[in-house]
Amino acid sequence: MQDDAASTSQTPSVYGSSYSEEEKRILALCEQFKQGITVSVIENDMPHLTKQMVVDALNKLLAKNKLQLLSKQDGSLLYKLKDPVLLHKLKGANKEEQAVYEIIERSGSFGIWARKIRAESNLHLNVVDRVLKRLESKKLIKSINSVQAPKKKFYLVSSIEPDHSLTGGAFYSDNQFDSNFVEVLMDTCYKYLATKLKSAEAEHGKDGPLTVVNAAKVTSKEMQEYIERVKLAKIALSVQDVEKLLDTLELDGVVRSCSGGYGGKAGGGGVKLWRAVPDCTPTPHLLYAPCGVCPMAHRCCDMGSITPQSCRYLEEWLQ
Amino acid sequence: MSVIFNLFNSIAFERTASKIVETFFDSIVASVVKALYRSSGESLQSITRLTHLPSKQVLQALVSLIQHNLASFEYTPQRQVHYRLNKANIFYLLRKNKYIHHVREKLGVAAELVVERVLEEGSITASQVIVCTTCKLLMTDLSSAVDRANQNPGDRHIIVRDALRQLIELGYLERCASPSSPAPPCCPLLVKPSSDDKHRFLPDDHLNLQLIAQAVTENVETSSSSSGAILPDASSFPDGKIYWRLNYDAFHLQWRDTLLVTSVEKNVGAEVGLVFRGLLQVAYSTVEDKWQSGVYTTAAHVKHALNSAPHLEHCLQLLGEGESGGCVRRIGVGGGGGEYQIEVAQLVAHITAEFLAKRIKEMFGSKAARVFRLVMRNHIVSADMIASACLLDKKEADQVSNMLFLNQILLVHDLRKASMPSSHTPELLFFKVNFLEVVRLTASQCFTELYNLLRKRELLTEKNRSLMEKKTRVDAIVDNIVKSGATQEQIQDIEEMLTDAERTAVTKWLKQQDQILTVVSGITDDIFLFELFSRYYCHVDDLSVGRSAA
Repeated sequence: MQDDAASTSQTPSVYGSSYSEEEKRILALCEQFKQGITVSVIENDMPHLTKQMVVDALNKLLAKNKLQLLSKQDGSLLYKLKDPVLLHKLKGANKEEQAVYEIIERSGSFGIWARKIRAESNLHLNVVDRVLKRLESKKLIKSINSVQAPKKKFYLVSSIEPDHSLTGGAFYSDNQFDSNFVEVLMDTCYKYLATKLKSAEAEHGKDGPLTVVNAAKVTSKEMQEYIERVKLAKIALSVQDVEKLLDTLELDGVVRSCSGGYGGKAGGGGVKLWRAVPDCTPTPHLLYAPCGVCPMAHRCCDMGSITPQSCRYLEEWLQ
Repeated sequence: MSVIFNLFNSIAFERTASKIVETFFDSIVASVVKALYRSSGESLQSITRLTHLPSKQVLQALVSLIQHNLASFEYTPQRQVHYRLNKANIFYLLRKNKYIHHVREKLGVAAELVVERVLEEGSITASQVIVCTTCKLLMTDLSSAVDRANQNPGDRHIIVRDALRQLIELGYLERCASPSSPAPPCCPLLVKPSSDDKHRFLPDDHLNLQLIAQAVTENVETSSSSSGAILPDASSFPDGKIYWRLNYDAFHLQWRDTLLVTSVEKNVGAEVGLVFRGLLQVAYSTVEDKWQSGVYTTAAHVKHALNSAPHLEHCLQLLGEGESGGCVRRIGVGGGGGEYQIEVAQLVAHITAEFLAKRIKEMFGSKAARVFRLVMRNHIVSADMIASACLLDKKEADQVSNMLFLNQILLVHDLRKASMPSSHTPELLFFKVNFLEVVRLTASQCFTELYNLLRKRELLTEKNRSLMEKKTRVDAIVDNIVKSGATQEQIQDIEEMLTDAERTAVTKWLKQQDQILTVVSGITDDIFLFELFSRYYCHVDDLSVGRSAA
């Protein structure tokens, strides 16, 4: 990095006369290294400057709101150029707005809620609310209600897509879980696997049960491609989404998963494979008579109001 | 796991047990069963006190119970006799028809009649059962079913003897204690059989075929077809002190194998099921106790024994890969191909878990079964996780888990509370499943349902008693006049003694009885699975039960 910095000798002239030569050079270095620069980079680039001069130049740029100060994990300071678009947007914004915006920006795609902003910024809640409203009206931030806590409002930078933990992922629409959509998707997945099993039995029945079982298996990727082909979802489902659907089908007892490649199909270990399994458990005989499903069964005895002799459900069943 | 889990020790089975005994015996025997149920051993005096019955009646009831292996006795150090119930055997009375049907399917009509007679008497000598069964064959039209082409009809007792011998050799019948003094048997003076091997078989020198043939002729002459054969005196035959009874374990072992094989068959196909059955048979040849869970057999042995099975390698691979519910494991791949271990307990737990999930699905819907499987698989699940893991709406997930909790299927897992409660500490709710408790609960529900059905049947029988008696009378008269050559008009006149409404009522009652008995028989199958689970559960840790459920 230092060599790169040393190689840049040209100072861009985009900055006006209000900037000293040192300041212009520091800004140029920051433009070159988007991830930010340390003091040592500046010192290497301009070895003729004393430490005090570098500090003065940096302080001036910070005061002019051209740089932002970040700290690295090892504790060293990092100087990063502020986004010019953002600077343009935040032009005229007061310090409170800038502080709140920075906190929101730091929270990334997970967002942050007003109380936490208050705790981090040490501002009064009313002030935070006012600032948030102002930032929202400037379209710098957006607010969304989390699916986990629908009453909580989370704020995040308007250009960032919210995390799945906030939106609920592909299975949520308008912050509501779309049960019908999920049912349709699960049904489609199961039907595909069941058809695959049937065709495997028809085509490979003579080749032995292992061939049938292997031919009936489908990878998560294959399933995702199939869902894309049938155009069921308006948004593209990720492989993780499809695996979630198949996992749920496994919990329903109609699909079984196994990992690892087979017969060169999956191409290696660690790939999750799925196949339909027939629902072979017979209905318990306990449920054939009304007593098996009676919610009052625990109160049924020879005496009292609920008895087998006076039970109208038992009578109806025998009719 | 050291929890003792006896399915038939539950309070729910108490009234069912006495109702079963009342159905098959009478109310006196049922009261004795009630008195004995909760104790681990009662003396004659205390039973008399508890039942408020005369000691003679109690003694007779105890004789019946001991004769049918429903009770046993033991001497205390003070030389007192204490009686105890064999609770499981009481339940097996409901499976009477299943045992008979099983033998008919396997060994034919003669063996079926032998088993029927043995079940009727509880314990019986070989000569007695041969005489009674031969008489029944001669008096009914069943004889044609057992007549062999080159067999003299007069030698039917030989056919019955052969059937009996076969039953003993296959372990369906076993030696039991015999009354020390002949008729009437006076309990508790019973002579236990010696463990001598020769008593496991039916030696020819114990049977006097000539005497048996003579007893058959006399019996046929004296008894009528409606009353059935009269039980001859045991002491008049050489085997008068050798008694036999049904060995339930032999039936149950075969039913267990059928259950396991069917489960594998339905999961991965008939071929694999066939190989699995073969694998069990091969493994049995190496163990003494066929009921034990972990049985081993070498791969070379399996391949040698099942070499005619199609796609053997495929089937073995599938079984080893967990398609058998994780019950077949391949250990080592040495020169001989390693060994196969069959963990019956694992498969039984898998089938039980699937059975319970199915019940939950039928009762509370597929989403409830989904939640149940999730909690089973993960052991402990937080309430918040249920919605996302089961792809359910948060509200719906809460409703479903709450419903399962109210029905004692899910339990709330207690967490240690924070010493300093604060608003920042979120309240966490975790659910878990106590699988053993769910099985116990379901079994209790089965017993309750059995009781209700038997009680309902009893009430309906009482209600229709006079009607059925009338029908029996009319049928008997019709039989008699048909034999004496009555005309069609005369028969019709007699038949018209039963009105159309009465006929409809009879048909309806018979239908209702069938309906009740079909469900009762089905519930005994459900209980059989729980019996297997209670036998094997100590070999299965909770975690693997959970895994097998999902």
